[in-house]
Amino acid sequence: MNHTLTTLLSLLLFLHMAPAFGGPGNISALSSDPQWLALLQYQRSDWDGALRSEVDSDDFFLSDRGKVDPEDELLANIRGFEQKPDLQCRFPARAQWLHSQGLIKTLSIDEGHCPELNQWLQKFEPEYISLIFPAAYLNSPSSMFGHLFLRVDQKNQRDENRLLAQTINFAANVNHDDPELIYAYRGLFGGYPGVISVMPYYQKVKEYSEVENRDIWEYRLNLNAEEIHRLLLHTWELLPAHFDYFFFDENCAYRILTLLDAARPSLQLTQQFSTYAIPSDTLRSIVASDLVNEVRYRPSMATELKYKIEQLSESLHPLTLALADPGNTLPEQHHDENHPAITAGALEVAFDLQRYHAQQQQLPRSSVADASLALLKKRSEINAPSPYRPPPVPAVRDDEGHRTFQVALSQGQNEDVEFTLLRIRPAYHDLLDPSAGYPEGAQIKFLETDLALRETGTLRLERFTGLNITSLTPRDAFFKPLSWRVDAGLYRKYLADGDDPLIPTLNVGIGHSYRLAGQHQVYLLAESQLQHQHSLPSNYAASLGLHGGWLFRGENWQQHLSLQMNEAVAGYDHHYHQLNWEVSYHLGLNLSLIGQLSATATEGNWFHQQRLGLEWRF
Amino acid sequence: MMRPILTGLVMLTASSFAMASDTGPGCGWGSMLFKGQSGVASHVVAATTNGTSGNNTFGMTSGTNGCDTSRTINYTGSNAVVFHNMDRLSNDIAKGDGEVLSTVASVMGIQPEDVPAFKRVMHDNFNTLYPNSDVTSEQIVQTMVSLMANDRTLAKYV
Repeated sequence: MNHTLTTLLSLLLFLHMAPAFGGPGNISALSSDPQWLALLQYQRSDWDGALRSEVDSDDFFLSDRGKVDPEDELLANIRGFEQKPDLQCRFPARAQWLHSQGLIKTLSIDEGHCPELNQWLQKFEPEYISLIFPAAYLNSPSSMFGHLFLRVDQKNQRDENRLLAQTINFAANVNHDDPELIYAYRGLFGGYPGVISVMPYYQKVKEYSEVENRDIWEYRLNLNAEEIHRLLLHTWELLPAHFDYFFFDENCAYRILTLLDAARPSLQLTQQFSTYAIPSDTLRSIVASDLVNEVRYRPSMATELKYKIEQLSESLHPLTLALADPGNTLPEQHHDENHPAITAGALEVAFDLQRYHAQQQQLPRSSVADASLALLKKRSEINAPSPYRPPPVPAVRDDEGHRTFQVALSQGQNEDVEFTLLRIRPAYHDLLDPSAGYPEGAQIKFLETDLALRETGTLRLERFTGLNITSLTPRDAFFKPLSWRVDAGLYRKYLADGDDPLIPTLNVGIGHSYRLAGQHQVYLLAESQLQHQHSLPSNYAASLGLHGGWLFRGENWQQHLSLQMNEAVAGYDHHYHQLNWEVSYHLGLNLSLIGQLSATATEGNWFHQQRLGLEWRF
Repeated sequence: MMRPILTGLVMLTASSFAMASDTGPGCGWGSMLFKGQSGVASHVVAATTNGTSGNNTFGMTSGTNGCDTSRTINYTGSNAVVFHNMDRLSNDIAKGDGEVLSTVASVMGIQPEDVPAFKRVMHDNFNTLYPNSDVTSEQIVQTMVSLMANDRTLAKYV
């Protein structure tokens, strides 16, 4: 009993005194402390489980082995900061933490020895950190994954001057002179360095809201003053650093998580995202970590414009469209029923529409500037506030939509052969998925894999969609976008001999889409198709055709009826027509019943397929 | 045969995983391949001429940073806000209100009780501020300052 008590007391004494000693056992423990790992951006590799820093600049580390050895780096930092206190100004977050652990004696930033750092910090006057999420915009499917950056909200900041707050953003420093293929290759495989930059919010709003027409969601986080300070110090440390920029895991959203982990290491947000990081998924995990206090909605210029058009009386539509055309001069003011007065509302929409089209079509400045100014001049002569209400906040945010990883199990028949089908879709959103929180008419599918266990006992890869991007944006009097579709994958094709081999296929289509009354949408695309495989007569087929469809979105269910008609123009001479009908019934946001029927006609034969199943989304 | 498909896949994948290079409009992947352009990146050129010329009203080339994060615009305070928000500012002034106009008022230090007067003065003098579409951000700021100097309520701010 005495022995135990003594051991216990010694242990307590040792633990109490340990920081002061800075002994070797302590160094080892501290080098695996989540705070240290977060500040040096160490992540455990999926391959060998070893810790490796994701920073790719040599001067980020004080030890030659710093990138792979947290303990060595820790020792080098302690030595470095003691020998050269100015070095602390370069790495103030690390210095602060080491000082709090009793490993270095004096803290340069406290002593006022870091003038550049202090000057930079004065930009901020921080009160809160907000996470900013520019959401997706239809017809820019690349935007569907979203983007994330931080905004440092100032003390006494009001709504009206939010634009002045500084933002912290991570992005790739690309070289526009690179030819396209190089651009694509370098972007995918880390050829462009990623850097952190700081700039006022109005610059980002302009970029996302005005140029890219993306709605923005602003999430106010509950980081406290100490955490915010640590985040800013760490941002300073990262300013000169660069990261090899990989799309799939080390992208913008992930880097923002590393900043949040550095501020509050207990979050361990980066642990959840090692293989791929879709910004909206990372946003979900941030919301789930109880970090969010308040969410604000900032509609894009396009969203505001569309809502203004809804509020604009229909009788004024023709006038407004005429005003928006930069080729027209402002009409004389008549005052009778045939010529409605040019109202403030008409002028405002005309101006917004003119600027929108000028931006979309990249019209030369000279062709539009004078016309735009004339509209504003006329508006300024009216002494009345804007008649428009702002767009309502969407009921479902982009981070509240269905989850992105989908698995489906179904039972069906393919030409009298029964099969059980397992479908795995890692990302992202299908036209038949619940559309809340996603742009309507848009689809991105990535690596969707269908495995079928057939009645005959064979297991086969039924189909594989490498990538399918579909963008069906409806046209109306005010907006005339193109709809289009790109699909690359392995699809089974029925041949004359009854065989259905897997054929590498590329489909590209372009056309128009229209919204009909209620929740109906129709589209018609002109498509080209390229297929290549040895079982095809001539080994390949190039076809042209039409692809039309009808979409309906109900309260809990959706349907998609489509007809594809293809005629070969080279290679295997054949025609191939397919009628496809898919229905989904949503039992919940992440659980749906699905049904599919298809009929294919080719070279005088008919083939049928149907299935019924369940889908889960995680 | 796989190579064209693979290349196609790489390019399309690349464009779909956009937001990579979102340091400026037209920097994003999607905007390169899918913004209705013929594959030429449509990025906005920064008018970084060391402050010798502001950009024009309705300039497409209105001062965003492109993708080069090492370049900086040498404006501060109200000059910077106006420079970066030319289109929206002119729209706000024509309407007599708006977020950018409020932000300019804020950065010029106008007290909340005087902001309505500030907005009214700017709205009423739209033609003085924007005599033509070539007016630059520096000219606008100068005109704003002289309008304020001539107004009883706002003179104290200049």
